Formats: sequence, C-alpha cells, structure tokens
Amino acid sequence: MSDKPHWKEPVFINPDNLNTDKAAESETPDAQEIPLHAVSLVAEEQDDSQNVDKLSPAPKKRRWANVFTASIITLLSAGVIGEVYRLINWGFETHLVLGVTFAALTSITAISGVVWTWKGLKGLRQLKQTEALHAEAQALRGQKTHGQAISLLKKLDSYYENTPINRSFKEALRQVDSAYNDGEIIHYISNHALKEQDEAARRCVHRYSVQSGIMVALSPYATFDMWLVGWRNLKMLREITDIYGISPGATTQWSLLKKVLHNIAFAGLSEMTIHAGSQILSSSLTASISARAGQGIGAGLFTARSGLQAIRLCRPLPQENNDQRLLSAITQSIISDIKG
Amino acid sequence: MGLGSKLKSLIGEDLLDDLQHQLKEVAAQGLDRHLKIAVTGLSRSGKTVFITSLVHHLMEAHQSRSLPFFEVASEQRIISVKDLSATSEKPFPLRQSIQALGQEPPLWPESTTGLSEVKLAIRYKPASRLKRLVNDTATLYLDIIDYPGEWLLDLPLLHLDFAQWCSKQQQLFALEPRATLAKNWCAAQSRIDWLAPANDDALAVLSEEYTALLHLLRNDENALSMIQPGRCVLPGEWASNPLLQLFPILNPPADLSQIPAGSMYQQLQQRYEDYKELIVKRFYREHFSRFDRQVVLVDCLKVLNHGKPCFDDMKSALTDILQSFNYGQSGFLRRLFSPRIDKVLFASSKADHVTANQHHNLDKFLELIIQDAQRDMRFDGIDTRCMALASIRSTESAEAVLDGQTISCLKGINKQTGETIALFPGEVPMELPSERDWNSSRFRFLDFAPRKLPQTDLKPAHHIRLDQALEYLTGDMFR
Repeated sequence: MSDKPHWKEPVFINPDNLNTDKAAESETPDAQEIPLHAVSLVAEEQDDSQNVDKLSPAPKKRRWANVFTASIITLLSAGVIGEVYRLINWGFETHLVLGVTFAALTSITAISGVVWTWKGLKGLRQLKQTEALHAEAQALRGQKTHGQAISLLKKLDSYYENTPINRSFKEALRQVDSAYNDGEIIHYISNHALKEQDEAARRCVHRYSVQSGIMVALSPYATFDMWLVGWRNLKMLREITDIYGISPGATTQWSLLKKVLHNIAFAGLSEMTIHAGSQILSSSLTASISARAGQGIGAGLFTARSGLQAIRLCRPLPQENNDQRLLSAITQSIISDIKG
Repeated sequence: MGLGSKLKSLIGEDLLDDLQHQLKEVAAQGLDRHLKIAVTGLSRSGKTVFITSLVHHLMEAHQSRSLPFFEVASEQRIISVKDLSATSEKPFPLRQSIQALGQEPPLWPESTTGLSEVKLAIRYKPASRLKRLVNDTATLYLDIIDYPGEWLLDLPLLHLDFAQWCSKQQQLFALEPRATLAKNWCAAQSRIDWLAPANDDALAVLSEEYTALLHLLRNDENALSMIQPGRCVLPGEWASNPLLQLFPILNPPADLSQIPAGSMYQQLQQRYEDYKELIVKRFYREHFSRFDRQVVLVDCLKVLNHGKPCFDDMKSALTDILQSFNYGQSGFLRRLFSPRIDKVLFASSKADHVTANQHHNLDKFLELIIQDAQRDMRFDGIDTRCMALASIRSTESAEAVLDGQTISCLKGINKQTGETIALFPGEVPMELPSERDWNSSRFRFLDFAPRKLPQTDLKPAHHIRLDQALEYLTGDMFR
C-alpha cells in the first residue's frame, strides 16, 4: 500500500494531555469543535426544500412612485416646518410666555417623535434579525452534522442579551449535551429556552381569539365587527412582541401586521382548508348554532391564526407544529362560552 | 372426548391456542392503552442494558429531567411509573441490573440466559384537552421482554424445512472463515452414510462437535452471528434434551424422495421438525407474534472491528430474523386483536464508543447492514428510522491537540485493563470499506467499562438519545 490512506488512524492519547472538557459542559458547546474534514462530509445533504422563504419578497420599487413620495414628503414637511416657525414667531410677537409655550411644545413633540421612531426602528431591526436567525435555524433543523450550530448559538446569545429570556436561554444552553448534533441542539434550545414565552404567548392568543370571537358573535352591527377584530388583533400583536422581547412600537406592529396578513393570505390553499375549514366544519355545531355564532367562530379563528403567525415571526427558532391543537381548543372555548 | 379436545381437533390446535390467547389479552387490555415493544438484537448487542436503562430512566421520569426529548417527560406530564413485572411469570431482574450498574465499580449486567419480562404502568396527564375532559389521567401499559439473542436466530427456521435449511447452511459453510474453522467437522460428516439406519451415538458425537464449533464461531475472535440452531449454544430449559442433538447435513443424499424410515437423515429431519414445532413455534407464538413496535439493536462496532465476513454474516442474520415479524399498518382495532408492528427503530448501540461527530456516520453504516430488511419494511408502509444511541454512556467527550490539529476523542475506563484511557477510535466509514481498507489499524473500538448509573437524579448525560428512541417508539401514545 504505497498511497496514503484517506482516513485518520485511531490513536491513544495520554489522559493527562486532554483539554479539559468542562467548558463544553458548562457554557459553550466547545466539545463539538470538530476536525475540518469531518465538517464537509454532510454538507451536501442540506435540504433546501425547507428553506423556501414564505415571507414577502421585496416588492418592486417604481421610480415615479418614489419620486412622488419623496417630493410630497419634502413638500409637506417644508410646509409644516414653515407653519410651525410662523406659529412660534407669532407667539413670541404676541407674548413671551405664549412663544415659550409653543417652542416647548414643538421641541417635546419633535423629541418624543424621534424617540418613538427610534424605538419602532429598533423593533423593526429585531424583527429582521429574528427572520435571519429563523432562516438559519431552519436550515440546521434536522441536520445530523456537528459544530455548525455554534455560530447560531452565539448570535442567539447576543440577541437575547439584556432580555428576560436570557436566563432561560443560558440555562438551556448549559444543558445541551455534547453528543447532540446540530438538529438536536436547535430542537432542544427551541423547546426549552422559550418554554415560558411560548406558554404565555399561546395563552394570550387563546384569550384574544376567544374574546374577539365572542364579541363578534354578540355584536349587532357588521361594521362594528370588523373594527372589533382589528382592535383585538393589534392589541394581541403588541402583547406577543412584548412577550418575545421585541421592542414594541407602531412601526414594528405595522410591519408585523403586514407580514402576518401576508403569510395568512399566502398560506396556501391546503393550510387554509385545514386551519379554518376543518375547524368550523368539524365542530359540526355550526349547523345547529346561529349564523352569528358561526361568524364569531370564524373571527376567533382568524385572530388565532394571525396570533400564531405572529408567534412564528417573533420566534428566532422554528417551532414544532401543534397549532392544530390550539385552534381546536379555541373553537371549543368559543362554542362553550357562547352556549354557556 | 371432551368438548375442548373435540374443538381442538376440529379447528386445529394452533388456531384455537391463538384464539384463546387473543381473547385473554383483549380482555386484559380493555380500554387501557397497551404497547408491546420488541427489543430485537443478536447476542451481545446490548438488549439487557437497553431495557435496564430505559426502565430506570422511565421510573425516575417524574422527578429527574433526564429525558429532554421525550415529550411527555419533558413537559412533566408523567405522574408516576409503576413496575408491574412481579405479576409476570418471569420478571426481569431489574433491581439487580440497576444495582450492578450503580455499584462501585459498576458492572455491565450479566448476559441473558433466559426469558424475562418487564411490565410497566405509566400514569400520565393526556395532552389533548378533549381527553383531559373525559379523564384527568391516563395509563399506558408497556410490555418489554428480554431474551437471549441466540434464540432469535431460530425464528427464520420457521419458514424452512430441513432440506432447505441444510442447503442454506451448506452455502454458509462454504464461506470463509467458516470453511476453515469447520474443516474437521465437515470431514467427520462426510464419512457418514445418511441413508444408513440411525446411530444415536454417532449423532451425539457429531452434535457435540457441532455445538463446540458453534461456540468457536461466535467467540470474540470470530464474532459470527449466523448461529443456528440457537438452543444448541444456549439451551435454556431444554438443556440435555436429545432434541438439541441437531445439526445441518452439509452433504445430503442426492435423492431426497427416497429416504428410508429410521435412517440417519430421517432421524435428523424428525428432530428438526420437532425442534421447530415444540421449541421455536411455541416461543414465537407466546412471545413474539404480538408486538406493536420494534427496536432492532445492532452492534456496528463489532462489525467494524472484525471485518467483512462478520459484516456479511450479521447482515444476513438480521435480514432473516426481521422477516419473521409481522409488519403492517396497525389501527386501533388491529392493535386489540392482531397487533402488527407499525414502527421500527434501528439503533446502533454503543454510540458512546465513538466520538459524537461520528454518530451520523454510524447511522449511515447501520443503514448498510439493514438496508435489505428496511427496504421490505418500507414497502409495507412501516415507519423506520436509524439512530445511534447509547443506553448508558461510559465515556466522556474530550479534545486533544495532535500535530497541531484539534481532534475530539473519548475518555473512559478500559473494560479489560481497568485503567483510564483517552482514545481517538478512528472514523466510522459511511460506505462498506474496500478490501484493503479492512485492516486492524483503521479502527480501534475498545470496550469501555460503564460509568456509574446513580439510583436517583439521572441526567441527560447518562445516556445518548435514549429519550429520542422513547419518543419515537411511544411518543404518539401519550398525545
């Protein structure tokens, strides 16, 4: 045998020369640092079919629309600034106190506006980050490789720094076993680090869905229904973002709402039929209860579905699917509450 | 003639026995959920340790969090697990096994020489709200039996008659290293005239030699798996019964249609049929025909340590064995009346004897061994999965820098010498190594002594993927 074998020979190592493995057991999963050649072995197995991004593709920007938006914003803000300047000016001319009041009011408005936007942008950034992490985790899910999850874990660690989730995340990280492969690590962290949050979010979704379901079932006016559902939905979204440590804000909420609606709209026929149809039909009570109650269930399920979508969007790690259970539970609660 | 025997003669004994058996079980099962798990594996593949560890972790599941991937346990829905083995005729020596692993220094449990049974009652909170409305708690009865792996190889005999078996063994004994090892015995056989009147002494001598040969074939050095008939090496309650003086005829007479009654050939044929009828069939009907789920434990490292003959032998043994089980879709009613196996887990045991990054390779290698059996099962619509697991983890993962390169290695206690060693055991190949790659320097999978398994306060670090195996096998029952 003249050529060099392509495998690595087994070796005995003096136990005293080992790098201690304590670090791996306690903080970071260092034990999975693996020789480079082992890393490439499984890479070809990546399952790309799971990576299909359901979230919105960036809409095509049209030039004239942009020009129009920019010019109208400039025009309006120039008008507003000019108007405010004249107002303050007029105030000072009339009386000093009036001028100071106007100036103070303007600066307060400006400052609070900036802070508010900043906060909202922070939330937006977080959402974007969540999306990236989610995609990365989704790719690792079910992988039997070793060592690829480390970079994701580091990112998650910094993502959760200074949030209430940090503690449970660190706890889960500590318990990750050195024998777990990447898919198992993702699964483990996903199930254990966010356990409390998931529980709270699900409770929140359940509560709001049942509320909006009952409100719609009992309200006498159709237009009023829409308003009710919208109101409950927005409130629920705010609460969910709060639970998952994403900073709340109108922009965040708006973009989240957009994504949620987009996801629901494009969820595909199969998911739609499973989610809404089977729930309403299978409850078989729809025939016997009034049309209003049926609408109530529909509204409740809509709220529940947008809630579940929001959870999916706020969670950096993919979740095992047991939505069906929650949806049927919600249907049951609405029916029993209406009847009771 | 009593009614019972009249019925028996009318319908046939087997059918009636089966019917009786089934009725009994259906009555016992009632509405509670029952699950019978077949732990299948050749001898020394880790069945006893698997059962011991599984049961021990389950019994502690209500207080320790050692099974994070077993949903019902990680969601803390298990209220309590009760060991009902005492109600069985042959209870599994659970306490002794756990004690042996918990003492200082811990020992692997003794290899199994007889049949025993574990019966567990798992009380849990159902996950679905609907079920919780009906009942706050539910109970799952879990039955697992332990038996020597040697006996498993008798199951394929059920499909073969004596002549078929002989021709199969003939092919087997033509292969190396069997041919060399069995040279003397083959020579002794060829001197015998099979059509001559039966001579019990000659048969006894030959059968004794055959038994010795079987022991030689399965020892640590040769490590062959296809050892038939299994009771010859491990008779159990049939020790020193003349039925076990049985061996295949490698050079059968040319014309099998004219075997004189009372000849040597006829005598062996008769013994073979009796062996099948009295020992194998009974064993199969009482213990093996009624399973819902199956674990097939395979010791891949043994194969890698021993090379191609061992690989081929184990592959054919496992494929033959797995053909003897009932597979098929198993609905609720089916499960009640004639259970079929609907989920099969192929597990390469001793995953702790390779480094963690090799687990995937171990899976792939296992697939090579069981690919034929798995193909048949898939065809029948059976859910199958491969998993590398360790019932008890006997090594720690560690790292060492060698020639400027960091390699992961294992640290544990050598079973032979009793001293602590650190070892990089080599890489598990994903494909069958070519002829020149099977050599002793490629792998060095040593046997490690177990680490102590505490009585309470179990941790996920005490096993590898035992929880995932449990979730796969039983998870849907707890929903």
